Amino acid sequence: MIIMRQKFKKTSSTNKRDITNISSEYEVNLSNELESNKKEIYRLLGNSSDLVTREFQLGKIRPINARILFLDGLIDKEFIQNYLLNPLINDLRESKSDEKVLDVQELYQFIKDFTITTAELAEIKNFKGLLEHLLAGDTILLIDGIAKGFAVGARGAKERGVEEPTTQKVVRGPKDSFTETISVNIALIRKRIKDPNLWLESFAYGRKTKTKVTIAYIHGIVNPRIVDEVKARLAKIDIDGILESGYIEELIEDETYTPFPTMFNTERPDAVSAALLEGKVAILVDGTPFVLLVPALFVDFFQASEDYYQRSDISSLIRLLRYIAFFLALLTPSVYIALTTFHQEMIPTTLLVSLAAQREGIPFPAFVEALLMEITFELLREAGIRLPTPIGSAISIVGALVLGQAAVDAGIVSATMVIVVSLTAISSFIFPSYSLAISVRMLRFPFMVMAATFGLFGIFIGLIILTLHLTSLRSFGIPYLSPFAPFIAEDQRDAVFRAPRWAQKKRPRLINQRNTRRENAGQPQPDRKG
Amino acid sequence: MLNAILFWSISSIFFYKEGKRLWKLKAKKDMIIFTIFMCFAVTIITLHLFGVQFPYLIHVLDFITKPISEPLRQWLNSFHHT
Amino acid sequence: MEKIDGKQFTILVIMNTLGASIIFIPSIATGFGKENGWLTVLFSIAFGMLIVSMYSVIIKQQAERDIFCFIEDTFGKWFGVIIIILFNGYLFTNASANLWAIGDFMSLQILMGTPEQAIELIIIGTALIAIRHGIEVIGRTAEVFFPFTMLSTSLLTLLVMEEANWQNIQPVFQLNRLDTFVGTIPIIVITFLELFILLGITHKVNRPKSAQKGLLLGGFISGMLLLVITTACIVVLGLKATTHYTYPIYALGQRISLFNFLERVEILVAFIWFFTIFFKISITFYILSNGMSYLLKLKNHKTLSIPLALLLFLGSAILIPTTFNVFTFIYGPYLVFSVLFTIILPICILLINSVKSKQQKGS
Repeated sequence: MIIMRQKFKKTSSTNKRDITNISSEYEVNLSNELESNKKEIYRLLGNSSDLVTREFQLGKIRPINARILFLDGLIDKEFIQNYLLNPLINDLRESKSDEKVLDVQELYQFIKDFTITTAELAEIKNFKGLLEHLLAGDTILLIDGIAKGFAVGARGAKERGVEEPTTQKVVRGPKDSFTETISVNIALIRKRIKDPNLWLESFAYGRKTKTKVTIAYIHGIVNPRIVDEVKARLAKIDIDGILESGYIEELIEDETYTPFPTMFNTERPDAVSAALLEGKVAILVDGTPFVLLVPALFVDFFQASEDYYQRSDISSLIRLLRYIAFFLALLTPSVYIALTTFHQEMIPTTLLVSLAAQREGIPFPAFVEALLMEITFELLREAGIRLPTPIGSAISIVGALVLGQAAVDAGIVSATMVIVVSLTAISSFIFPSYSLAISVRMLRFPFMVMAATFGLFGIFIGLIILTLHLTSLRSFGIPYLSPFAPFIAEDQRDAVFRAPRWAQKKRPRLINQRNTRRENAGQPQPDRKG
Repeated sequence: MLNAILFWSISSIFFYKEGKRLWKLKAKKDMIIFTIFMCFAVTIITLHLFGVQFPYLIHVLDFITKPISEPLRQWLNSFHHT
Repeated sequence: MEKIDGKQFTILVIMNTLGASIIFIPSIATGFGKENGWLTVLFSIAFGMLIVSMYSVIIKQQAERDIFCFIEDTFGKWFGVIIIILFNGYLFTNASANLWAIGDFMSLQILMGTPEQAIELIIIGTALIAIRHGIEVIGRTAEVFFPFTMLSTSLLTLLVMEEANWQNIQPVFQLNRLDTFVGTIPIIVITFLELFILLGITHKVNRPKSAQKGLLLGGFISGMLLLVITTACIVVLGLKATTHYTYPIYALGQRISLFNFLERVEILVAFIWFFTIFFKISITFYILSNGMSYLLKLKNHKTLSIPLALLLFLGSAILIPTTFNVFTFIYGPYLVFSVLFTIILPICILLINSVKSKQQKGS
């Protein structure tokens, strides 16, 4: 054990040295000589095979060596040929300025001012900047005799287009969703909110991945304390790689040991825009379509973006249905266990008779029966997600029809139990947010245990503990269970029910404390004179 | 006996958890008082679980307040219809 | 610094008043006042509000101080410490009595066969979780459950009203007048007097004014609820039954029948009572652990919460031999202790402080 620990210590210390060494190597400035620069780049990248370079000459009378470098696959080659190489090689040879011989400095300035016609152009002076640009997909132009270079932005990596969202579907509402490219995602938000106060701040996290993380908020609506809090928590991130927004979520969330999500994730640009308008902060991460929204409250996970596009009475009813579904998904099996084991007198007599008849041949107590079926169902569901699509549907048929029916026929479980499990399963699919559905799936089991030991009393105890836990949670300083606890009367208009648009005059009070007035529209009153 | 073992294991988990928390806080006095109280509680409950009969609290309280409570109860009961 | 608001405090006041009493009051009230039982409750409200206003004066004097700190400031170092120790003893008895009451009720009425101590253990465990989360979380949780409790109470009374026989409360105040008045004593003891305990959390209310208001309003609302429940018991169950049942309100719940389908929903009553008494136990436990840590000058009230929970569990186990002794306890020693700690102590506090403030003005 001791030896292992020592070993571990040693490796960790060498790792540290590694990092510091490389970063000190990065800080070295470019040299005057093109060849040595090239060699250094190759050395730093370990002669990686995707590094492509092309050498050419600038000017006609006294040609100067130059070189472009890029990583294959990350750039738009046609663009480079047309707008970088073409002007550099051809135009420079033919332009009049070549009549008098320019020295290297002048040539450099000339190229910068007149030759390169791309929109994105950055000067680089050391290897650190050079590598950053090169790895991000820029094309590097180096000229012999000068210790500076250009990074030309002509990124053209293959990326997915804007498609329909796969996880949060709507019947009515915009059908675009975020992609894996952060710039596209930002553009999708900008397209919706054309306000100079939509501010973005970008950071790069991950020692190795250098993932771009951007926070977006509307200045003047957002509570600055929340923005500061987000930035402070992000600043503490020190990790080798960030591949998905889930990494960020886990690194900055308020409470780790909770089944409930305290940050909202969505791939819908309209949901993000609506949240920004409420005064929330969006965290976009490059490489994933899932954008994080903070602070996230318990009620947010019951609200689909479609709620706001439907008429208010319809969406209120649907939302109420979701709250009912929450309790159904959480409590149905445990209430079944409690009633059949402890409180038979509460079941109406006729129903009790048929229940008893069904359960007559069942060898297990209700708890084991319920546990068996719930676990079977969880297995089926997980298998359904992971299996290839064509097999997935076959499996669900096997699971739902064959297994369910066969289990009842074989007398292993009662038919009522199958109904209970199906009800639970369907209810847990109703939530617009997958992350809440998972926590409900998990919490069902402790409730079943409580019901098996203490009946309905155990369920009450479980509900109290659950509520105690929920009220103790906070999401970036905002009580998780608001606007229920603490109760905020004004915010009830967009909690269990959704009031009509014109009645929702104020933004959520706790999230946003300064600029609370959302609209001045009154109830529509058509002119009835005519 | 089973009850006692269950109780001991639960209280030792509690003791460990809370002790760790207090240790981290570097609250020496809290730590000592917590240990004393915990030992006291565990001992007395263990005795209870092993069947040692303590005097019922209401009998104790009754004994203390006897001079006042006895006539008071009789007075109140005289108004009580059963 | 965690704070609760006036609304949450009001809810906690209601929960505390209803806590132990809602299940015992009807039989006590009819035991004394017979058909005037509801008048007994009415008089208790009137008298109780007077006492509650006295408490609200103390809140004003308390001026955002901890009640224990306030007691020490009032009575001086040594005498103060003795009073705090005794007061903690009162809190301990109160909490374990409530714990016993709910455990006994559950094991007798709801979960036949489950040992009482298992129920008590799980309740005190939940209360332990609650107080370790702090008063803010307790207040908010009470806020979440309050609507459900109120809904169950109104359902309980509304659904049995078709069986009401208003002959049962007549003649109004013709007979047993003195008994009707005397009956207010035990009722006040287990309802309004116990509100003195809540002075232990008033310094956590964000404005002292709203604490005063909450105490009065909460006391009044819960008094009205008790009145309604008692009246419902008398008119639906009749006098004899109300007096003879240990838990008349539970018998009331058994009368509910909705469309001949939803029957025997007396679990509703258990639901109301369980939630109210749970918050009562949690608050008393919270104040007790605060009081102990004040006494021992500890950094945080959490330190003693675990051993105190174990001791409360033991306290509930060795409190009372059987359910039959509960009224002997309430009418005897508990009454004496209650009066001592929740009437004589506040009066002393008020007197000493008014004398002190006069002296200050004089000098």
